[in-house]
This record gives sequence, structure tokens and C-alpha cells, in this order.
Amino acid sequence: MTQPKIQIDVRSPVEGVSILDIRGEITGSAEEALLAAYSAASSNTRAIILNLSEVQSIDSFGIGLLITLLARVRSQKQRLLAYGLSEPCRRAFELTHLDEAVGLYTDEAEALGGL
Amino acid sequence: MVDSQAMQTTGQPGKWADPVDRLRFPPLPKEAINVNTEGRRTTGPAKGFGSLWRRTYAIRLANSTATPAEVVRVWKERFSSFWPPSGRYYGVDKPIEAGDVAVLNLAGPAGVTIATGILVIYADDESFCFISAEGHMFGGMITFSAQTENGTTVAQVQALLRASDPLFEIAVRLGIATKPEDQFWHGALKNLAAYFGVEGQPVSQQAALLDPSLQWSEAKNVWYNAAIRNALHMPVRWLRGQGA
Repeated sequence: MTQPKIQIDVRSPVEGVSILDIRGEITGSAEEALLAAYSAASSNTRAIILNLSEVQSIDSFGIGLLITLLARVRSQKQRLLAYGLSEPCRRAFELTHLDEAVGLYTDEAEALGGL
Repeated sequence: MVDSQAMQTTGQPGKWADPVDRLRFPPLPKEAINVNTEGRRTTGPAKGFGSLWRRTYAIRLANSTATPAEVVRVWKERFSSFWPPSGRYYGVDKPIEAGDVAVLNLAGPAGVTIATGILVIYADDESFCFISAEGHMFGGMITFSAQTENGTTVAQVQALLRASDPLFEIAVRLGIATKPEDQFWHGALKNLAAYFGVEGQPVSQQAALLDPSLQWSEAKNVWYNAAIRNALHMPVRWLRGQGA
């Protein structure tokens, strides 16, 4: 099995909002790390923000994980936002229509302002 | 957004495709059915109606020396040749790359051929991925890949999908939609394995329900339901056949 090349830190800059700082590659091997980070972030949270500014690459398995994450977030009546997308990341969101379901922003301040 | 007609010549191997607004298909062979395909948009699991599933099929290429990259290279080059007889894949005559489009003719219930389309949204050396078009039974992504597990190359098909509309969701829940889907990918993987000289290996299968909820806002997808549209078009095709 491929070793995950991802690191995710969770922080809460504002009450009820969690930011997942994601670094590395979002591939199928990132599933465990992503779900663990969401579990750590999700209690008493109304919005999850993905900081993708240090994501080096994303493949089709990785975008599938984000689609799955979106379903989980929605089932908890939470919102999912993201910022710092590279051009390939933005293209992946657009091709899979994630951009229509996830609020996309340039930076953290703009994302927090979008809540 | 750009139109896929121009995009077809600019696919980038190892990359994501350029996004498209509507799918435009190249000329098809005479026997191909392209009802309900031209000009459709892509969908995918984010736009589907039914519960979200991940279905994974895999076959071990035991005793084959083919590497994952070699398997995927051949898969891209000869993709349609590995399909079982119940489906036809009409793509451009070259190895698959990101940005390609294809029309699918699939065996449906009661002898109806379901015509639908796909866009290749991603491709790298060890995988490639399709997303479905409006009207397809599934709002889905399907990734074809190979990897090494315990020294053996394993070829895999993984679909992330929701039934596109309420009627297809009923078909999924009754097993009408999923059993043929399972049989199809079992057959395709066995055909791929046979190309590499591997016979008699079983296909493993996993189905994981990731989100049981329904996306009612997407119930309107039924308007493009390929089974209905192709069934309605059958008399037209029959009459044209009589006149030929």
C-alpha cells in the first residue's frame, strides 16, 4: 500500500469554525488522515475550511475523498469551504462540480468572511 | 469554461482535463447509438441523486511481470477491447488521455440499449478517471488503476457514484442496476488479465455505503434519464432500420 504523503493540522481560529491545514499530496492513501482530521475538527463546528495552499497535487482518488468529506459535512448540517487552491486543484474541483458545492476563496480572511 | 470540441486536442497526460461546459463527440461508427449524448453536461457523484457508494473491483496479475505503469499503458491503448460484449465504448482511436470523450452503448433492461457519454477527467502513468454525462445511470467517477501489492501487480476499477435520479435509485436498490455493473467490471478485469497471460484469477469486490442520504435537489436529473430517452427512441430507430 502506498504511504500517505500528507500532513493535516487542525485549528479553530473562530468559535464554531475549524480549519484543516493540508500539506502534501491528496491521494487515495490520504483517507485515514483526512477522516481523522475531520473527526478531530467536527464537534461543535458549523463550518469546516480546507486550507489547500500547501497541497502539491491531487489525483482522482483524492478528489473522491473530498466528495466523500462533503457528504459527511452535509450530513452534520455543516458547511464546507476551501481556500488557496492551485490551478490543478481548482480544475479538479470544477471538473467534478465540487466548486458548486464548496465555497471557494482566495485566502483565509476571505473564507472566514464568507461564513 | 471551454468547449470540449477544442479541448479534445489539448488533453494533457498526467494532468486534469480542461473543464468543459458541454460534451461534443467526434463522428461515430454507423452502428453506434448517440441518442441523449451530444451537448450533455458532465455530472459526477457531487451531482447525483441517490446514496453515495464506493464500489471497488480488483484482480491480481499473479505470475505476470507487468508493472503497474505497463498495465495502465496497455489499458489506455486497448481500453475498448477489454469490454465484455454487453457494452461498447466509442472513443477516439488512440490511447486514452485527459480531455477525451466517448459514447457508451450499454445493454439495458428489456433489450433497450442505453446510450450515454463520459469525459476523461484525469490521467497519469498509473491511473485514469472518467466522469459520467447527464442521463447516465450513475452520477459517478470511475478510476482505473494499477499498483503493486506484496510484489504482485493488481489492476483495479473503483467507482464513486450516486444513482443519477429517483428511477435509477430504485433500480440500484432492487439490484437491477448494480448486478450488471458488477458483472461488467468483473468481465473487463478478467479480459485485461488475460491479455497479460493471467487466467483463472478471481475478481475481488467491495461495496461501501459512504452516505445513505438522498440529494433531493438533483431529482430533476430524471429529465435526462438515458433509459427512458433511449426506450422512447427505439421505434424511430426501428423505422429507420426498415427504411434502410
